[in-house]
Amino acid sequence: MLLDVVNLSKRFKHVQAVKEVNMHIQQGEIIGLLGPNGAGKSTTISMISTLLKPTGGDVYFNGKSIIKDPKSIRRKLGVVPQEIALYLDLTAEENLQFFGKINGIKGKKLKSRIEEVLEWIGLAERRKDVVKKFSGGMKRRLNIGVALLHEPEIIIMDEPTVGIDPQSRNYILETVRRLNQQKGMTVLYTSHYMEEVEYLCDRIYIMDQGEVIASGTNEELKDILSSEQTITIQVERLHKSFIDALIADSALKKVDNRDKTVTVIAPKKYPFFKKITGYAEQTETSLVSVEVKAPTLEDVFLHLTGRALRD
Amino acid sequence: MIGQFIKKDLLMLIRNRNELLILLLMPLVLISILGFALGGFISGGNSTFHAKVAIVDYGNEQRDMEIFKEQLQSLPLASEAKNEIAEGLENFRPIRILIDEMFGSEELKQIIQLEQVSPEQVDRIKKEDEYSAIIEIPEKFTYHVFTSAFLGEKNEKAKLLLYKNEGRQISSQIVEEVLEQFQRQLSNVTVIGKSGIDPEAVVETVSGSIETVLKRKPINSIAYYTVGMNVFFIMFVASTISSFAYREKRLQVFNRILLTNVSRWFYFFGIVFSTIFIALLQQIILYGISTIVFQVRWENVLAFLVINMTLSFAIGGFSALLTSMNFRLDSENASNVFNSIIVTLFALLGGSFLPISSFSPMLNLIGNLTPNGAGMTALLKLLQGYEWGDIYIYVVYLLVIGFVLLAVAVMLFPKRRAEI
Repeated sequence: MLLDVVNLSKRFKHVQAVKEVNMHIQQGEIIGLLGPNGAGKSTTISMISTLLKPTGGDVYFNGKSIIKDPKSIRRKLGVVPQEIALYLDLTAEENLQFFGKINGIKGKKLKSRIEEVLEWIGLAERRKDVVKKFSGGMKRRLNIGVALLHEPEIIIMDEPTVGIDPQSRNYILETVRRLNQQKGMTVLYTSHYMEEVEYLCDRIYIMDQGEVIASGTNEELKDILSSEQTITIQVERLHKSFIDALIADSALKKVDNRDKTVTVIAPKKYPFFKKITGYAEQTETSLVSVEVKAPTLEDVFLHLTGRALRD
Repeated sequence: MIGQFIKKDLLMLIRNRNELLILLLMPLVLISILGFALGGFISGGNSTFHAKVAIVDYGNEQRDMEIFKEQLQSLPLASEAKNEIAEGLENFRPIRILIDEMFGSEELKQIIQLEQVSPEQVDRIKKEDEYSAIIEIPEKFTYHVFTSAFLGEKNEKAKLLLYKNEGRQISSQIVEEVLEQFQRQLSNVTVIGKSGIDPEAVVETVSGSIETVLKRKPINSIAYYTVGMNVFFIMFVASTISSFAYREKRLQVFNRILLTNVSRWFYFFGIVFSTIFIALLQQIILYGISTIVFQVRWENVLAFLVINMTLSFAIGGFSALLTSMNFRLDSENASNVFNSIIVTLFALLGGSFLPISSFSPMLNLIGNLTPNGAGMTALLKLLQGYEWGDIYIYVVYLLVIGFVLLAVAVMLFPKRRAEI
């Protein structure tokens, strides 16, 4: 096992931010840590990265406790923070030189590492540009590049695609996948975007309110919903009485409404068409569409917590 | 590795036009504007500075001389030697030398008006603010000077008394220096007299002392504001670098640095060294340009560098303190308050805008307690030609400020309570 997280906990004064999280990561895996904002993902990541001391539990890297020997483990970790942790007034190359040198990389080795990293993140042509002139996506790519400079064994990414356009997001996802496939890099990827985690990760840990509430492969997690179906209802105008009617239906497990869309989780044998059209008629709600979707991780989260991931 | 921290801060400064304008262009613009606009306010070559000094003689020089001559005749000396001394006495009259040769010189006459007053007027004058100083010549002063000089008697009575008007610090200081020089020359006469040197030569020695006193060169307004603005704007280096450091924390660059196994204390002292280096560089650039453009020249370059290095060290202390406060408060407020209020207040008290220290001794003391004020006084004294012995105390004070600020900053800098 490359990384073992055992009963990891963190308490800040009156808030239990992380409660006895257990996680294990094998060499070459891409592990997803999925959860809404405030679920405790970043705190967990900070403890695994040796930046925050746990109040309980431990993290073992190749069997060594990171609390006892954080220095030797830091050399093997590449951490991509949620913020753009770069000097915006320096060029891409100057940023890489600074972090490379304080990482102890020198001379020709540093030069070749910078070349390689710039190629990996697709910024070789823009190396001389100051970072503040970069697009959001380019900044995010350089943010990843700095973490790759010292050739870490595992890269820990905390929401690496926040606030960027879909094209840049795809580039980053592809880069992560290539790093894993071509360089055998182990990745711990946190996000609240279930589609990213679904696309990238071999195994997924779902966190909510400081706890891991589910874990497994994509398929294993979706199997939680094997006896259920997710129904998405589009309406012309949402009436409270319609929502009340759905909530009152004891057969429906979860009801989540957002604008003119209502998502419900119902048993597989639930006569959804008859029932939903009936409620619409009773509450004078005009239906636009009723759709049964294949379950997603979003649905799994909804099923487990009663709330949507983006709540 | 410290070099990497300095390099990165320098690059950020160079790329930041606003910071560069504040640190380099603004002082030069203000030196030009204030230096030329307020040229008449600061005493330069042709000064409008005047001081009134009263001198009161409680003795009688002629009678003292006769008493001494009588005493001389009774001494077991060869008559030839007695005659030589007696002839020399005619040319060595200390009070005449003080009044006519020293205060009567062209240079001092321009700034000091010496007025002989009677002993009855002294009490009234002491109560008034009109005079900068009162010089009292005690009874038998001349006689005591002669016995001290020619007979080698140790005589504490051969001393003038000086009453300084504390409200007129600069002028009373000048008078004190003139008198100190005068007394020093009288002491030399003792040695000369004992060595059997012709006392006529002494007259030349004493007169020459005027030149020594006036070696304190006048400062023109451009030189004054060159120093004033430079010690003012050096303080912005502390707020700039501490702001950079806080942004590193906010953007998690600080965490990223810690993850490279650079210790938080190495990072902390990196900020201090970076500030010292950039502050010193700023001063060298500004004084370099001032030398070329405004002709402000430093004769004692070593002392100039030492003062600027210690001033930069004190600024490094401020930078460390502001960084610690920013980190602790998790905001940039400490740097912002320093930048917008404290720097201006220090500049005002330290005399960067006006020589307010000459307004009262209290303001002078407060001004010299500010690091910029201490640095400014040291640099102005250096420009005036003071010796290192008159300046080093400011250097020591700046070092003390730097160390105290660093110690407080170390105590305030968040410790590794939460981190591994």
